[in-house]
Amino acid sequence: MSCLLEQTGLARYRVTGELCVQHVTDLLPHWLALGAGAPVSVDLKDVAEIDTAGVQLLLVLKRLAPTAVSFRNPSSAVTEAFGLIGLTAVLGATAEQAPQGTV
Amino acid sequence: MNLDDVLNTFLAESDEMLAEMERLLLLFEQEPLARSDAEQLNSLFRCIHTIKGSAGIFGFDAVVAFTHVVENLLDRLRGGEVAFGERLAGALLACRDHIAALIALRTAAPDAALATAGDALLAALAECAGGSPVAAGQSDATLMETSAAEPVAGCWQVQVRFGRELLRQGMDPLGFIRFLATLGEIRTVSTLLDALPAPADFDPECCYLGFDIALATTADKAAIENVFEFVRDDCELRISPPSTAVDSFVARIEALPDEPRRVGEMLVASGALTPAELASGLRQQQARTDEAPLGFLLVAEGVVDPQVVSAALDKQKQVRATRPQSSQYIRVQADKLDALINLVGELVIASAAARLSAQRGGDSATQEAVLAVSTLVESIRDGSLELRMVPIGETFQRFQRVVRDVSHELGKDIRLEIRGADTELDKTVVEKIADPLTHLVRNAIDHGIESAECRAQLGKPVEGTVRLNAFHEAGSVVIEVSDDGGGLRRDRILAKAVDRGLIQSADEVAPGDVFNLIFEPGFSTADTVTNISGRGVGMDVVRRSIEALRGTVEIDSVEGRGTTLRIRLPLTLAIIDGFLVEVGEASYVVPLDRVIECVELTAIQQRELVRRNVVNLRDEPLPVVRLRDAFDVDGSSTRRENIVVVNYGGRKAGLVVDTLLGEHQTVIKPLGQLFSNLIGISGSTILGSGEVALILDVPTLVQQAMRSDG
Repeated sequence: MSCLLEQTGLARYRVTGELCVQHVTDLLPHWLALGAGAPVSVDLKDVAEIDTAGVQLLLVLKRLAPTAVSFRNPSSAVTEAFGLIGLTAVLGATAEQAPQGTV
Repeated sequence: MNLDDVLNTFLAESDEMLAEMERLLLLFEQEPLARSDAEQLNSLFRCIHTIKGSAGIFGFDAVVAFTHVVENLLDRLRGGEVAFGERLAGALLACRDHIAALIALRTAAPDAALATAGDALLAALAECAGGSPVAAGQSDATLMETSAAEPVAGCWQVQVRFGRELLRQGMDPLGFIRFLATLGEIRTVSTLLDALPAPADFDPECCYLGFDIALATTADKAAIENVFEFVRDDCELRISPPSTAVDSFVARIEALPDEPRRVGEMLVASGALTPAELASGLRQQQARTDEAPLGFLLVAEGVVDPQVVSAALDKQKQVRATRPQSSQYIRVQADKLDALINLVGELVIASAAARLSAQRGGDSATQEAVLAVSTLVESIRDGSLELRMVPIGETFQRFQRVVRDVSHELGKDIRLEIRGADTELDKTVVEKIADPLTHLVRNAIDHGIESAECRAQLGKPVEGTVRLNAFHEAGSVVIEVSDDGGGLRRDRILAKAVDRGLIQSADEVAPGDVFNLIFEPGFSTADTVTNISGRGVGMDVVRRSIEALRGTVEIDSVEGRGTTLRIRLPLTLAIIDGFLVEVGEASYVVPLDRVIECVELTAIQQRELVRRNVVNLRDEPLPVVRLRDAFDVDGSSTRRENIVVVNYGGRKAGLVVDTLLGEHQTVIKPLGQLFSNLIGISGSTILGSGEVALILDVPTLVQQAMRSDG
């Protein structure tokens, strides 16, 4: 399984697959580009798996563009990981129609 | 117990304390900061404290007043208010001497001169102590900085920062947190993001996160630490117990059995510290140059609660107070011990008699019982002899002071190296060897080691070295006094000997015997007489006192490189394992540890023996002594004779005897004055049959063999 970042619409992106250490290096250039311009929203509902490297990736983007980037629809894997480390706020505050506490 | 006895105990105890003080101070003086750890400062403090306390009981007010000031200063040293330096150690050393002088007076008030000297010492002490106070408060600052986040009540606080490479190694920090959750309930987690770099510097495969976790669990610290076992070396891990646990740690430390332990051990035993944390703390302590106490480091790192450390320190103090080190020993009067050894000697003889009689007429049950008794007697013998054994280190330590004082006096820079301090030998021997040793050490400093300028010219290190070494070798103890000085000069010794009329010409002395000339009475090659040595009295006295202990002394010297004096002493003076042999009707004992082997004297060897006192033993020439001839035993042997091959100081020789009778426990009975001129006999013993056997003096016999050989 791989990890894919696709544009799904105007200022809308989606991550699919494993947001894990094996793929983060390939993903990084495209990923950081998201934070460079106009506000974007990233859909996380198809993230099947996420590890610390993935979490860091989200955090870095969030730090780069705190208001311009938002995450929505975190998958259960994402919610669990962020819940585990007490950072649900990073997702929750800016999620669109994101159901919280689904663990 | 009357007051005199108590006083004697006090005096003996003070002697010990003063000796210990001296040892510690010399240590501090040599390595001012490196070694002055709290442990040793505490010992120093205890010494003074004990002396002060005991002196108070006897109303030695001057001692109390003086020690009080010193004690205060040591307390400040312990507290880190005053820094230890070489000067301060010197001043304290002078104070130690003053205390010794005051105690020796045994009165409440010293005379005016001594009192003035005391005041001067205290003034000097105050001056030394005044400078360079250790900056306080520093420690507090570091402590605040690293203190953990706000703890959650009743929870273990686990703070962890993972190594950068962790992700690349295929490990996921989240996994550790999930695993941690299996131990109990994770109450809160805060992620430490401060290490996360700007996007430009961000390496997505590096781990930047740290976590501060509040964990409610019944598991102990080691179990929590185990979660991180695989990454322990790469991560910063700090596990703080819940406040309730601190109390239980303290309680557990207080409940530890009253035996001396190190602080680290106590912390581990209580569960407040894990062995891995202890190891890392000790590593850190070693890496530091200031020798900060372990407890301080652990607290500064936030590994343990300060309360727990202070509980451990208190416990340690309490254990020491109730059980001072000296109380591990029982003071026994030496004459009681001697009486015991004498009795054991008689017991050995009696048991030998019992065994003999059982062998002759007893039934097997009696024989068996007697055999069991003999075995026990042997153990008792060994055990009671061991009571008299003391390590020579204590005697060696005294020389630290001698070397320091004498080298200061001569303006030389000399270091004393001690090796084999735990080598044990008989107390009487230790006592009697101290004086000759002092002589040899002084000689080494005065004559052996050249002046600093001279050493520099010769390209030697300016600091001279005197070495004291002790070790066991073939049933004897070897003590070496060596120096790296100028060595003995063969030509000057010979010239002097001719000059003094000790010899007629240089040719008559065998090369190996030249150095032994310095043991002749009235011999000194020193150009000038100093008040330390050089008057030519001494070396002959040294040799005589060593020979009185049934020991020998030999010299090794290389001109320009140094001299080594090697003293060989018997382990004990009272009882030895002997090897019993018979010549004609008479029995002789050879100390067993000298015996290498026994061989039959062949017919060929017998013929060789007629011509000269050397036989061929496996193609090696072996000088032999025929005891029958040496002791003029009547009659000639009808049986085949045997050779007992003996060793002394690396040389081999043979003793020709009639019969080999085997091992025999030998209680040495000294020969009376009347027999003091006998050559080749060192004592006598009583056999089980009641007969007397003579103990052979192997060294002189070997020498005799060598002489007749050469």
